[in-house]
Amino acid sequence: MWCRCYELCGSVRLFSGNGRRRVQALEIGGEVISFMEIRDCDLLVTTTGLSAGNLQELKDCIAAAPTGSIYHHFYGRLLRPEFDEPEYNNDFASWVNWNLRDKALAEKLSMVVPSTLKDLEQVREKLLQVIDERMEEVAHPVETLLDERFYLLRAHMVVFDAGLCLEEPEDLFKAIDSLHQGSIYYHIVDARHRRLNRGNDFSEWFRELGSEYVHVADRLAGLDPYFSSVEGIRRTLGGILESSLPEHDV
Amino acid sequence: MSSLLDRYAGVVGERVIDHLRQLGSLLDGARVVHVNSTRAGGGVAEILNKLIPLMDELGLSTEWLVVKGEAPFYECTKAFHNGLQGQAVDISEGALRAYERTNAENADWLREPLEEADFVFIHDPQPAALLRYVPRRRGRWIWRCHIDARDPHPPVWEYLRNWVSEYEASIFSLPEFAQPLPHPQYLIPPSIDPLSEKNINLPHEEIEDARSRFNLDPELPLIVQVSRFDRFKDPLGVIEAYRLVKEFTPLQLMLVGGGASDDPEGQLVLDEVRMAARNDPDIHIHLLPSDSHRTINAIQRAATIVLQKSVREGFGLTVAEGMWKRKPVIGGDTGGIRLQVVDHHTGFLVRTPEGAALRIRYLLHRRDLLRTMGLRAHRFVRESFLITRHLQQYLALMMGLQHGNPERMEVGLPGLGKGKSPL
Repeated sequence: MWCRCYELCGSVRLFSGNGRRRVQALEIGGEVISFMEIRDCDLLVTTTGLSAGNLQELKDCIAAAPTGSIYHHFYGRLLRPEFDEPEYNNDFASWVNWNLRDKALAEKLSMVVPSTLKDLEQVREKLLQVIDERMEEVAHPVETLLDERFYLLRAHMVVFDAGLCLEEPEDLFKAIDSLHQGSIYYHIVDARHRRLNRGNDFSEWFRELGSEYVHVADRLAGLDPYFSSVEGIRRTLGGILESSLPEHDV
Repeated sequence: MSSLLDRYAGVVGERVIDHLRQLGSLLDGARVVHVNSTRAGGGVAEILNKLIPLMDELGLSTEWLVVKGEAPFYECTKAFHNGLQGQAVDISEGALRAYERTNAENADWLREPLEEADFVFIHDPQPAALLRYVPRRRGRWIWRCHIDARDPHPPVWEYLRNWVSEYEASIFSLPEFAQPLPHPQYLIPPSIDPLSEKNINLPHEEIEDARSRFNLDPELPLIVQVSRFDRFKDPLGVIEAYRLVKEFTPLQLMLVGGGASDDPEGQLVLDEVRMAARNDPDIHIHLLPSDSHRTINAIQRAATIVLQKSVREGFGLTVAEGMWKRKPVIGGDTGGIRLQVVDHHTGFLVRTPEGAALRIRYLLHRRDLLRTMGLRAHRFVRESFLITRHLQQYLALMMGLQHGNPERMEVGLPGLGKGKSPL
């Protein structure tokens, strides 16, 4: 797969300054051309040994969980097969709603938006604060059935080469409909965290393409996946490119 | 002649096979040994039968070893199985010594491949003690538990934990089955093989032939449950649901199972089921030989709706089998069925015969929805419960163990496993 892309581009690889290899430059006859390799990904899940059957236990689990587990319960749903728009946008909120029957808390937990917080430690703190406040309000804590406990998991990401290399802005526009969900997840959702909430792989690539594309990069960087599905992200991505790419690139 | 992987590509698509090849190329030449206690019969053997040639085709060197033992060994491991499932079994010291002795003897005659393997997958408790009897092992040993161990009988788990805690990793099907262990525990659900006799596409004539062989009325909706005659599968609840529906809509019910003849409890349940059917000509109860895969396939394809109304279920691969045949499944709201039946999307989760009856009536009344759900169910199984996904996760696990179980692994490009996770 590496060779396939290498052969397609047919020259030496020069890595961009961030040390990652999604956006790269290619030197052909003295001219540097930025190109982007598309990746795909899947998750392999492990247990954390933590599980909760009531609010106090949920709080204890969130306090003890590795940040990777918190991340998984916010964004892992985007890689699961989807059948409709979820009512809540993270697993903590969904479980509280469906298993503890606490809609008020589910609403508050769902409004903990990672992109508005500095890092996953802040996400953890916010979750704990919201649960603490709710525990002070609830007179009779609910306990779930044994088979409805919340199991905190963590994901190990396996990144694959998707065998696709973008050389021109129009390449992305043409490829959007056929990109696999794993590719969209990797380059938009995962990228936000790799880049510490600063844009995503596509916005970075457009920024490297030159000043003509900075406004496209800015719009793409503002794409927040939290309230969306992968298909929703795909539609938004297509819309941004269609409305902001210069005519000759569409 | 097309390769096995090419045949799977025709079912799951090139992307999935490409991922397998990317992972396989990094494990090229790795020596992998799977150990279980039987080469035929049961879900583990069924999965290994296909997993091993697929691993070989990807460039790994795979071997399947089977432990041998005498009656006391199997009596002990049967008790382990029941104990892991929560039954309060009493296992004598003598039985435990037979278990340990048998593992030691097997370690002696399997020593060479076990010592030299890069990865050893030990399936279930039967060969779990092998590890300690192979002190000069050089590879990574993984314990794969296929059993619903959510609530094990404490003395049984305490004993087994002593053996399995020395492994480098373990694999469970669901998070609730995992137990506290001092190593990473991976969650990998089981899978079905779309190219096996049980799941392969069948010609229309073969399905019609099954209908006629079992005296099924082609004009009547057919509700099917395929499972052992076991109280946990709630066959009596299925009959009750059928009767509730029949008050409003004509239909026929088929309960198909195997293996009851050598199981006293199974025979008892079967007798109760026959009694409950009370010679209703539209209830068809059949015991089939354990190798009737193609017949089961035809029956599931002839079904209008597939039921798996279990009150307790480890995973319930008959659910995925039904869904693969584009049938919505009405399943008990328990265990692995919850992972497969996405309520209102690929079928319905129910807790009572009344719930099952309600959903059967609903689907028979809404044929458009029945078809849509069936298609969704098929797609869901293709994405989540086929053997290719199972294999990909095994390969990823092996890569992960080789590289210190990182949170991110990049394959198909240089620097594997060196990508630093931001998490």
